[in-house]
Amino acid sequence: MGMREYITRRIIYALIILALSTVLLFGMVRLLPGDPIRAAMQQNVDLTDESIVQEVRARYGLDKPVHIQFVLWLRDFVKGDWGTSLSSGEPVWDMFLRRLPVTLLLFVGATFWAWVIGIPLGIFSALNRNSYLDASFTGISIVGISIPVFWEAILLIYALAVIIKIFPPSGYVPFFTSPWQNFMCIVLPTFVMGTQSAGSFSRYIRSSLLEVLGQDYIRTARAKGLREKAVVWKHAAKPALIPVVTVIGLSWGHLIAGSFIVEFMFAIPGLGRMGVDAVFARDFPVLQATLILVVINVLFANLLVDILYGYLDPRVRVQK
Amino acid sequence: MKPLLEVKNLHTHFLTDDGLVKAVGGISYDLHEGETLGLVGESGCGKSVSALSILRLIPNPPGKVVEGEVFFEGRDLMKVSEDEIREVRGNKIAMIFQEPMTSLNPVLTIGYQIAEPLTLHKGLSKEESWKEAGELLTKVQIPEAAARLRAYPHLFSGGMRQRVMIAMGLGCNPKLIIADEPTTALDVTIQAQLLELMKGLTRDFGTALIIITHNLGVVARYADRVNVMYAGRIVEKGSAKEIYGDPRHPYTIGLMASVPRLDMDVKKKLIPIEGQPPDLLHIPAGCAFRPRCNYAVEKCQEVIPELTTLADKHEVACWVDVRRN
Repeated sequence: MGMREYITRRIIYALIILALSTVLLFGMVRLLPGDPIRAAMQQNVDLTDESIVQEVRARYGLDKPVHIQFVLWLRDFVKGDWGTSLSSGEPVWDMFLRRLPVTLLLFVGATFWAWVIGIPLGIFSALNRNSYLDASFTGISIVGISIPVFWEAILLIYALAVIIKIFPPSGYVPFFTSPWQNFMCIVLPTFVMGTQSAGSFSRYIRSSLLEVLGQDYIRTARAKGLREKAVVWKHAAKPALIPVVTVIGLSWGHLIAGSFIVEFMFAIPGLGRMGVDAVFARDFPVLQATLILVVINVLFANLLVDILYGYLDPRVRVQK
Repeated sequence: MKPLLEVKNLHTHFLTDDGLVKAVGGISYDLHEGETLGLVGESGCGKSVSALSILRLIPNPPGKVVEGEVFFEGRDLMKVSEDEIREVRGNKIAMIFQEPMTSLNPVLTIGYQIAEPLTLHKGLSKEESWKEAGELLTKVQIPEAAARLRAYPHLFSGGMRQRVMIAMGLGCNPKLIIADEPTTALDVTIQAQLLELMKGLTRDFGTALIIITHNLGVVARYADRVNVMYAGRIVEKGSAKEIYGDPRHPYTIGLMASVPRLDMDVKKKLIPIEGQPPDLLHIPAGCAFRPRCNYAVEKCQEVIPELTTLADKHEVACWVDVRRN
């Protein structure tokens, strides 16, 4: 089986899962308690007038049976018409486009932290197994994995924005307004988002590298007279990376969950914030779109992992 | 003539959670250029560890060569620097490992893995080394060698992988090849092919060969000299002819009686050696083989017998002259 066929197959799987999850998500959102029309209209409309409520309901198509709603929604969604927000009246697609760069920036920043902290820590720990530094890195990693995101955010805001005033406690300045302020705004949130991944990367890389270093083919490499550096980087790094790729992919999926909390705590106008607001406002169209995006994000990350697997491990390509 | 390799009183210990394992407890032997030595014994008797110790390939921790000297081309390999021992590994002394399925890196091409020592030790360019890798694959009788260089190990059968290992070992024209159970994981017909191949190539190149095996048939056919190991020590040394024709250690005698021979009366039963090889954590005092030995006398419980010369180069470590019983 060639690489092309392998990738095609993976993409088809991803699309099937996406189709199934749209059905699930659509149903789940409908099951939320509370009436969206009443939640959205309560400020400016007299809700005792049942005919107005019915009219608005009809305008958004919410009076039709659920399965009809789903088909109509799916048809529009595929066309790029994601509906309009019930609370702001703005098209969801526009909201999405405006907020996507913010969240992507956070993702990139969080991934940066996770890599620059997690990968060196893991490699160092594996190469200096059972040293004091290895033990302390293990401790640090476990703290990183287990600390709750909101708690870490509060601690960091308190330490680095309130006591020592280095970073702004919250808020967001777009890059094109002021690159420097934009940078300062995202340091803390991205660090908080990346902490958990950094901890798990370092643990996984440590164990994966240690396992590979115990393999027979590493002994073969040493018996060839290679320097330890060449043994680690040429012979051990690639096979050790294969299981870690999965973790990196999964962590990309987890980032979106982090962004829900972090964007909320740091008052950053990204997709996570949009999702949280939509839940509180029972804003069906926005919530649906956000959840689908979460699914697409996870599927995309998994697809990337599968493809990377194919490139890294020659054995995967021939498996049926 | 000075021997190519002189191992003197080599001790290798492993410090495990359960205690100190004396895997190799003081072995000495010589090997001359072009000679083939068989290292024979049951699993866990320290054959492989003693061979890995020569190239300082014992993982430390937990393992360590605690005593002894290994002279190779005039230098004590136990004392040379890390850089110097690397110059020897894969270049002057090559190893062929026992597990062809796991001893090749699954994510690197066959060509890369064969070419690697060539670029490392002979300073060849990538193109030159790949060309030579192709020639080496032809030498180990892999058809369409040039095309196969780009393949990954998982596409090769066990026998073919072992051929690749041999090609890898021969690349730098080493003075000595240590083959650790080179054919154990393969089926019998492939075993014979590979041994013939290895023997032929080492003869052509004038390479000395240490074959580590528990297969007495392999040793009888291919080795010039034989060391029989038991519980980390050599219990009998001699030419292949002496070991097979006139074994003097009760353990060697037991080994011979436990395998079928073509020149044996077919109705005769095989006699296994009773009991288990000793736990290296608790090697009994005196002769380690005593608990399983039919000839044991009182002295065997107290003092470890040293190797004593019987005739020419035939040496045995036993208090009893087995011929008298």
